[in-house]
Amino acid sequence: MDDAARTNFLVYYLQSLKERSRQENSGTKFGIDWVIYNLAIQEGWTPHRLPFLRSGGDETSKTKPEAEFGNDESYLSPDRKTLRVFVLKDEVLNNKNWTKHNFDTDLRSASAPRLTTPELKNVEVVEVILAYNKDETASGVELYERRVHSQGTKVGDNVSLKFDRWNLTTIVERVESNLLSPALLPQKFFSQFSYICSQVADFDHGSDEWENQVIPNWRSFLDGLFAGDADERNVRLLPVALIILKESADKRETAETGWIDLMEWGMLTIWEMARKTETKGIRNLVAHTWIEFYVKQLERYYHDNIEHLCVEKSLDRGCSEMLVGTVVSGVVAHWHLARLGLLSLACAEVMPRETDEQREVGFRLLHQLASWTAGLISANVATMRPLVDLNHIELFLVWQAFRRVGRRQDLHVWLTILVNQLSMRRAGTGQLPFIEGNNSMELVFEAIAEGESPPEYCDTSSVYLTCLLELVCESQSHESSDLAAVIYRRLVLGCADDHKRIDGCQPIELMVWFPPSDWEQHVLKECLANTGSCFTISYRQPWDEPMTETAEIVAEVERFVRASREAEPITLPSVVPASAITLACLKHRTPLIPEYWRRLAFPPNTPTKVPASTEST
Amino acid sequence: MIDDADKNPSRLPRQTPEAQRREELRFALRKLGVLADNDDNDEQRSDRLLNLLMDDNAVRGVLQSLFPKGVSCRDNLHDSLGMVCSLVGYDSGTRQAIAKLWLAAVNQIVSTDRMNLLDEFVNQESNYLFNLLPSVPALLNELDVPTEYLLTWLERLLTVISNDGAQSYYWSGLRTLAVYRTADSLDIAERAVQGPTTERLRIASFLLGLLRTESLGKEAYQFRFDALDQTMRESDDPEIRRSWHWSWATMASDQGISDAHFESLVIRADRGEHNDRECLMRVFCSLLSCDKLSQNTYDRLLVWVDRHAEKIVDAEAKHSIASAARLDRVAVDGDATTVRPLSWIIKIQPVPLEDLGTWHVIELALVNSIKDKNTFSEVFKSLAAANGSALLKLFQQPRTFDRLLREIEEMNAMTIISELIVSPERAARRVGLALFDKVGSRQIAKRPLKNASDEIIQMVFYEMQCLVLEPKATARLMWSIKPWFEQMGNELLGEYVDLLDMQVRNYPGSLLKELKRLAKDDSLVGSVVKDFEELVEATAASRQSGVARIRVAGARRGAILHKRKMDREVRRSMGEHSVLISLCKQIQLLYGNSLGQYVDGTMTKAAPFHSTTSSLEMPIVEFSDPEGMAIRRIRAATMIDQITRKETDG
Repeated sequence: MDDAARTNFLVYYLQSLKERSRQENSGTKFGIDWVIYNLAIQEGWTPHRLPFLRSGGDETSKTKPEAEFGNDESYLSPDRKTLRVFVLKDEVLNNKNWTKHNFDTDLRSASAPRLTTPELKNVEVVEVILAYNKDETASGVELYERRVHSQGTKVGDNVSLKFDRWNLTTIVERVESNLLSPALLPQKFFSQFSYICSQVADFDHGSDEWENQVIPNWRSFLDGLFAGDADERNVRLLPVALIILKESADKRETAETGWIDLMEWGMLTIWEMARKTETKGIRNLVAHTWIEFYVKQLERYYHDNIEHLCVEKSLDRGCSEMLVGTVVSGVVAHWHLARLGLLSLACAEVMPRETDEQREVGFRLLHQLASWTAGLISANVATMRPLVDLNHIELFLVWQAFRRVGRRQDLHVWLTILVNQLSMRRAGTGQLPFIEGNNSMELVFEAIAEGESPPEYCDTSSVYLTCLLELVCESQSHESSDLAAVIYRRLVLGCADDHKRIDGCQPIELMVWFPPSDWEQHVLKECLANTGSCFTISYRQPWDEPMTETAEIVAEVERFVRASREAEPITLPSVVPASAITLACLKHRTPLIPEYWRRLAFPPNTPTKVPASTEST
Repeated sequence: MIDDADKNPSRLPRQTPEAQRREELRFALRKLGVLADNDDNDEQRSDRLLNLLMDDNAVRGVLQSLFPKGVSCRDNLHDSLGMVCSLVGYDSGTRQAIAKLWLAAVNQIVSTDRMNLLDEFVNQESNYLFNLLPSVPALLNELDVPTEYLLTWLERLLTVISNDGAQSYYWSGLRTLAVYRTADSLDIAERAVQGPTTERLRIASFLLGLLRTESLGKEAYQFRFDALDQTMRESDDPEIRRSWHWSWATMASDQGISDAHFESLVIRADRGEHNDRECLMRVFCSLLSCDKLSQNTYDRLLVWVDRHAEKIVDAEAKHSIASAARLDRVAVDGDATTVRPLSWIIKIQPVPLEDLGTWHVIELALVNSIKDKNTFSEVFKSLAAANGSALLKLFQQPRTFDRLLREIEEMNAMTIISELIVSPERAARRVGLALFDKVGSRQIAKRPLKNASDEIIQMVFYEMQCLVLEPKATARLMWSIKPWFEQMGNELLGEYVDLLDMQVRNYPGSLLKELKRLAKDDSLVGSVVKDFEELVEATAASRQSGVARIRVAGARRGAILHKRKMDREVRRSMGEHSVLISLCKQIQLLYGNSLGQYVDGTMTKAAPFHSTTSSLEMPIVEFSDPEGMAIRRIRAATMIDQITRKETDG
């Protein structure tokens, strides 16, 4: 993440804070007072007066009901000779607010502190700081300057009086220099977030510890952050928390991908918030965070790293881990494929299209993303090693990335090689088992390690192949190849090219999954794989001869798509974009809702093309 | 000198009953003067014992000394006699003496107890069965028991010793019966055929073969023999007929076989009566190693086996033919002079892979023939063409064809291997490549390569993609065929470069090193190597970027499981490859880093561990792109088929 972006998100967050942190019935309100307190602590100052009663690390300190006389917070320097008094405001410093929001009154009160208490006996300087987390106008600054000049330079006979002004920029600068740590977050999150930071620093992205400890803790943190009536400040806080996490993990080799992983969980949480809220501002803010934070970070990551990813076999593990390494490289390759595909999908959704120039810029970007994807695929054969059925999501993402910019040739080459690679595994000659239908990597690893599939291993049913067949059928109208027939023959029926059954191969049960009717309310939060309905597909009557011609396969697939649309109509949500839903499916291990690929492959209300062979019959 | 213990065995310290009995016998033999001096040899001791057994009274006296309480079936007579044998020695004199004592002891007890006593022997209740076995012929000469019992006893004894090499005394015993007790022999053989079991038929077959050579004396005996002979010859039971066939082998080894007899057998075999040809083939093959055959019969046998070898399907007959193929006795006349028994190992193909016994005999035949390089070369190439797939697997199996491989390695077989590699037969080509891989030939011989067509070179190129070869062998092969590909046009040269490129990535260690050594200034290989080295640099930078560092949950457990499985495989494989390792006792030390032993009161000094390491290069691409490698192999196989078809059509 570049410095400017990081500063921007800090600005957004700090700017959104109230003057005081407090617990309300509707939830916790985050205040600038807590930030100033932690900045002072970080710089070694000792609290003298605080606006709250401190409490534990996972609570919100209770606000003091007493009058502060302009002194919101005050701190003693380490040598006890300077007393720093903060006048806090969550308003713009301008002429209007100068009196309306008591800038003047509070500054005057703060300039006359009582220094008679024993702990202040050594104080030689009183420094009054006006801290406000908003901007200012020239008139506001002028009023402040006048007040400072009129206040004199002494408190009593011996103590010097000084003034300073920390506006939003100053606070952000100080926070960036000294407070990019869990202490920047509201107090109630401190303990949990500190723990997450230490875990992120300790564990590699994707490791068992990462999946079993870091991610559950992070998701629990997100649940807490967005519990109750979460508002703009909660959304603003998320990027800040992520920035702090990135600082924590920066020394690890997997820091960047791990950070993207954490970011994705965060994005799903704010999209869920956007889905539920009626407030347009929050929805816009979420969309803004999605684009400016997630999509841009993803784009920057691949911009910086695509050169490495396009090095031949860059994702391979060598042979020290043997076939386990082969599987791992397949998983990692699909991770990158998914992110590049998501990037393409998200960019396509948000790019402006009003003018030719905008369209041109957008097309160039999508073209570049397709080129990156092609580079990754061409350099790494592991990208053509789907291991679990859910990899149909990556299949769709890559397909749409190529198709969107009309790269039919890349699409065809990729799909052909993919089908060839899969054919080897289907025939049992590729050392790797066929795609695991239960989506259990544990079973895949066990099958690899033991050299035979465990009883629970499912390679007899597939949504992946249904998706593949439908995507290929879409392109058949543009290609003269017979890829659909090859897929149906080799992968579905388990036959060789001479149409004879391969030894030990039984036909695979093609399936399609439809989510439950209320899927939109759950898809961002949880796995839906065990809900909804799964249909087995027989394109023809069981006693019919197997299909061998591409044209008849395409016709049957289209017929099935039409029939299933009528039987299980799915309305796609309007608030949450397809990219976010796809990300949710990836993260929660939910199968992709078929309509997401079908609306591109078989747009509704498009007249069906009648294949030549059907016509002749 | 006789020590105190020798003077009075009762004063011996507490011992096991067996040790005590042994000491008693030693004492008795010393007292009899058999064991006179510690420096005596076996012959001196057995002579002294035999001299003591001059007549029946003397035998009884010695028995009395050895068995002061008398002999009964409750005493372990056979153990005691076995101990006497081990104390006196194992020469022929001892065998005679023990037989006399055994027979006298058996005769001392009543006939019913006698059979119980003999039962003890075949029930293996004695630990000294094999000490007494050499005395069986002498025992059988005079043993007085009913023939019905004797047949049962002989059958049981044959069962007991059937898996041992020391059967010759048993068959000598039967020979004694046949020679000296004709009536009993006939009786035993008849009874055996009436109630046939495998062992009984073996006994009957052997006796029949021997009796056929004997002058039976009485007409009645001859009549009984002829009847038995005919019964067995014409029996519907194939096992009985088989015994009859084998009786001819016994007869032949005893005193040869007449031309008339041989002719009748050939006629029987040619007619294939009762489908006995395969059995007779086995008999004929065994006759070939018989030195009492006339040259004429031998020559006729050679011709017959040669004519019929390829018609044989029976596994046992094939084994016999392969065994006979090792013969080096030459024929002198007629068609037989052109017969080459070694070629029978090709005629009997296909021998199934699981018939390892036959393959072992074939290996021996090949090893024997290696001294004549031309013959070996010709036969080996024919064998590779006839059943190369089995041969290939045998070379790959541990401890199967090791001896032949060693011999081939020592004989400098570069030309033979090269000729095999460029053979038009696919199986032979594969055997050639496997041998090239195994024996570490430095390169392919130039002449076979020069004579090979472009299509053959292409097939070699594709064939090596179908096999997993050692990196160095791959480098040498690639280098050897490179000049041909440079002349075959851009498409094939492109394929060559693609394979070279892949192999360099597959084995970046020894293959790359060997390739650099072979092709120092070659521009084509140089550019492939340069590309690879650039890739290595780029990969190193890529690795540092962390793009591939993402971990996968469950991989760690998978790696542990995989490693355990590999460890198990390696252990199993080590056992298969090394007899020594499978015999070694495996000890797992619980603590420490040095090992000592305490054995029977002696403590050795603890010795530190020694470590040994070995390394092998794993084919990287096999792991990084297993599906791609499978596709490559399938394509290579398809290309081979295409070229072969084109050649056939052409």
